[in-house]
Parts: sequence; C-alpha cells; structure tokens
Amino acid sequence: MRIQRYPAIPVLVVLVISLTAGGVLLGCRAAGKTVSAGPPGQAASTTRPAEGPQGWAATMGHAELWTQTCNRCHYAWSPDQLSPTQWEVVMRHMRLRANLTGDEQKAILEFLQSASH
Amino acid sequence: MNVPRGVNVAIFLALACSWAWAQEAVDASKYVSREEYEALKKQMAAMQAEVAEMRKTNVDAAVNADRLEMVDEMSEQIKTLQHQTNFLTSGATKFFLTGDAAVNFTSPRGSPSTFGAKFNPLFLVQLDDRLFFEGGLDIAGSTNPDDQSSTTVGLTEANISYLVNKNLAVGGGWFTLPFARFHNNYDASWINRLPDEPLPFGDRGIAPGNGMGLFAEGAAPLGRTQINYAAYVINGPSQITNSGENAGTLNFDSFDDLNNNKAVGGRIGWQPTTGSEIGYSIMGGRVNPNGFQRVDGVLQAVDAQYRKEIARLYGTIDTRAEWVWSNVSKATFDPTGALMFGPLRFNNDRNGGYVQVSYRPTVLRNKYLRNIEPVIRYDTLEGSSHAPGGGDECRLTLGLDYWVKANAVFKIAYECDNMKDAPDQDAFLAQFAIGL
Repeated sequence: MRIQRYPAIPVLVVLVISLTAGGVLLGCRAAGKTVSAGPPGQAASTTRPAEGPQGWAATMGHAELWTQTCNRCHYAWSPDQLSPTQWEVVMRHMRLRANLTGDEQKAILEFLQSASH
Repeated sequence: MNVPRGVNVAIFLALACSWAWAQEAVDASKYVSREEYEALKKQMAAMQAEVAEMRKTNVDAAVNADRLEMVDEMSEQIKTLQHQTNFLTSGATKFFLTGDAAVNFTSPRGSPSTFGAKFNPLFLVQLDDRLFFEGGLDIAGSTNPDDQSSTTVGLTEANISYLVNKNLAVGGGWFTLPFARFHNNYDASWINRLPDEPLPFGDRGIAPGNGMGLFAEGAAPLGRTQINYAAYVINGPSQITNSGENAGTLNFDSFDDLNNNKAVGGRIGWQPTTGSEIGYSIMGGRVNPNGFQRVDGVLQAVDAQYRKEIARLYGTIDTRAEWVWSNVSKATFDPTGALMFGPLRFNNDRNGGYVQVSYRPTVLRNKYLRNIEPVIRYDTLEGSSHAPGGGDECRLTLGLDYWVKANAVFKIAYECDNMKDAPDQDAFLAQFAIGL
C-alpha cells in the first residue's frame, strides 16, 4: 500500500485523541464518584471506595492470573526471587510493558508479595 | 545337743509375750480419733492450697519469662526489618536495578566465528503510587576489521510515566514504541527464544524501536476479553539521504526532530484469552530532513500470538507472528551527483515479518526434558533491489533452548539464509542469556 498525500495523518490524530479520551472515561467510570465528607476526625475522602476488580482480575485467581499473564511473553519468575518491595516496582514497570489493567497489576502484586517471603 | 527342759519353756514364754505385745502395738496405731482426723484433714487442705498457689506462681513466672523473651526477639526482628525497609525505600522512593545480559557465540559460514557479550541495565524508580521513571542502557563491545575495539553505550529508555487511573497511563521521554510486539515484549535476550532478532526487527529492520515524545496507553476489560490501546506523538524517524550505502532507509534512533514535523501513531490489541492476542499498529509522519524534498512515510504492522498448554502434547505451544509494512514515498537522492552515488531514485516500499513456533513439554515429570524447548522460525524481509541495503532475504532458523530457570536460558540455533542479491549468510548461533 502506498500513500502519497497522507490523509492518514489526521485520521491518526483523531485516533490518538479518541484512545486517550476513551481510556480516561473508562478509568473514571471505574474509579467512583466524588463525595464531600469523610468520617468524623479524619480528613475528608475525595472519592468513594473504587469498585471491585473487573475483567480477568475478578474472574481468575490471583495465582492463575500471575502465571497466565507473565507466561505470555516470558516464563514467570518464582515469587521468592524478589522481595515484596522489589515486586512492587517490577509490577509497576510491567503495568505498561505488558498492557495490564490496574486491577491486574494489583491482583498479581498481592499474590507475589504474599508468596515472596 | 541336749537343752534343759526349763530353758525350752522359758524361750517359749518369751516368744509368746513378745508376739502379744506386738499385736497390741499394731492394733493401737490402726485407728485415729475424730479430732486427729479433722486436724489432719485441715492440714492436708491447707497444704494442697499452698502447693497449688506455688505451682500457679511458678507457671505464671515461666510464661512471663517466655513472653518477655519473644517480645525481645520480635523487637529485634522489627528493628532489622525497619532498617532493611528504610534502606530499600530511601524515603518514599523505591528503586530497583534490573535488566538482562547475554554471552553470544556466532559462527557465520565464510566468516570468522566470534564470541560476544552485552549488558542491558534497566533502572526503575517508583516515586509514588502514580509516578514512575525507567531508564535503560544497551552496553556492548565490538572490534572492527581495522582491529579497533570500542564499547558502545546506547540509550534504550529514559521516560517518566503517570498513572491517570486503572485504565490509562500517560508519559513522555525516550520510550519503546508500542509498534507491533517484538521490541516491546520479546526483545530482551532472556525472553527471545532465539539468539537473534527476526529480520524486520534487526539491524536492517523496518520496525521502529524507540521514540522521543509523549504517549498514552492502557488496557480495559471488554466482556470476557480484554483490549489494550496505545497512542503517541514523537519526533519521528528521519530518512537517510546523504549516504550511498543506506540512502532511503529510516533512522529510528533519531533523538531530535530534523524537520519540525512530528510522527503520530498507535496500536490497538485484543486479547480473547490471557494466552492470545491480535493487534494492529500504525505510525505516520514526514520523514525527510530539512532542506530535502518532501518524503512521507506510513508504517503498519499486524501481530498475533497464541499460547496454550495442551495435555495431549504434554506441553505448551507458543506461536508468534508479526508482519510489518513500510511505505515511504519516492525521492531522488543525490540529484546532482555531488555525493558520488546519485542521482538515485527507487521504489521505497519494504515489508517483512516472521512466524515462530516453540514447544516446551511443561507437564513432563522429568525435569531435564521439561526444561528443553525446540524453536522454529521463518522470517523474511522484502524490498526493492535497487534500494541501497534493499533486496529480498529470508531465513529458516531451527533452535533448541535449555531453561536453567525462568530467567536463565542456554540457546543454540542454526540459521539457513537465502539472500536474493548477496551471498547467503548461514550461521551457527549460541547464546547464554539471563534476566537480572
């Protein structure tokens, strides 16, 4: 396919904006609505507790999610290969590298930290 | 012996008297009076209470001593843990040094064989729950035909990202482009099943690896499946125009924008299951440097992966396939001939891809067999034979991996090469790679 005058460029700009807006909307829906006050004696909470996990993080066990997700690209490291703190940093890195949702990141991290030591 | 009768009688009487006296004494100690009994009973009760009190006191003291000892031990452990935690976190920031390293052996047909090594440190810094930095280097040594050795250090990552919510992250810097999947997911030597990269992602590759700019990416459930999405705007690749050896090819490692025209792109992927994914990527922009005629480029890619443990095969099959199209508009290079290689004009469309299948008997009981993974890959790169560095090439590579552990693998492979306009470069490859 050859394109001499690139109508694809504006289309790509629209694609970029759409994807970003879509991600924001999806995330905002999941994060809950704003409330005005918290419990007496404590700082006011800005959001209600987020909804429970969605997608595979909700339907699969944490250990199964860990093996299935990691093994997609590489063999899953044993949880005791890193400390709980190191797993936290690694899972934040993998959030983007492996296209994980926030729920998946949290579920897998919980499993790794509980089995780490 | 004769004993007098009187003596016998006396002895008898004495024995009888002593027996009678003893009987009387036993009978006297057999019974106590009521008063004696009550007194003894009171004494016994008092003694029992005293013994119970003493026992209780002793037990409490022992328990307290044990508890105090445990508390002391726990305090020591807590102090040690606090010390370690403080050392690891150093404030609110968490730092982790990771990456990968590899030792290679390459033996191409008709060329000297050689060992090699490379080291790719990756610095990860989590500033808080949302802010994150990652920086990466690619460090390797080489010696050119003039016997000059050098160590090359390349920047592979230098970006900051921010989690907007659980479905979106934004960031900027020098980052691995979400274009197809090889560079983003399979490129690390301990992840790649073969010792080298597929043609479209290698040295002559047509797929971009990194970009300098801004990105937004994330993932979200879609029914029982999942989608992931990424979009970015970057300085973009620049076309090489002043070299007769590679005029027309795109330089994806350009840190600066040479034409004040940004490239935009994105990828969308769909995961029907956790072990499968298909994706489409696109990137477009103006690629000519300032002062050169206008040249536009559009890169597209499709990728697919299927991975599944199949009980009948006693193992896991992993299939990966990607195809990349690079469409760059025509241009005339060195139009005046001043650079001694022009004028040169050619069709600058290139494309290529690969299919790779690997199998590991993950459910076998024998741990040595379970760690073996045969791999087969077919890769190809097609381009105009008139273009410098162009010409068709395809390879069939057979490999065998032995996994020492999840992040350490020894690989051997034989590569059958077929080049249309140059001598074939069959090669034996070996590599030991670890993830750090």
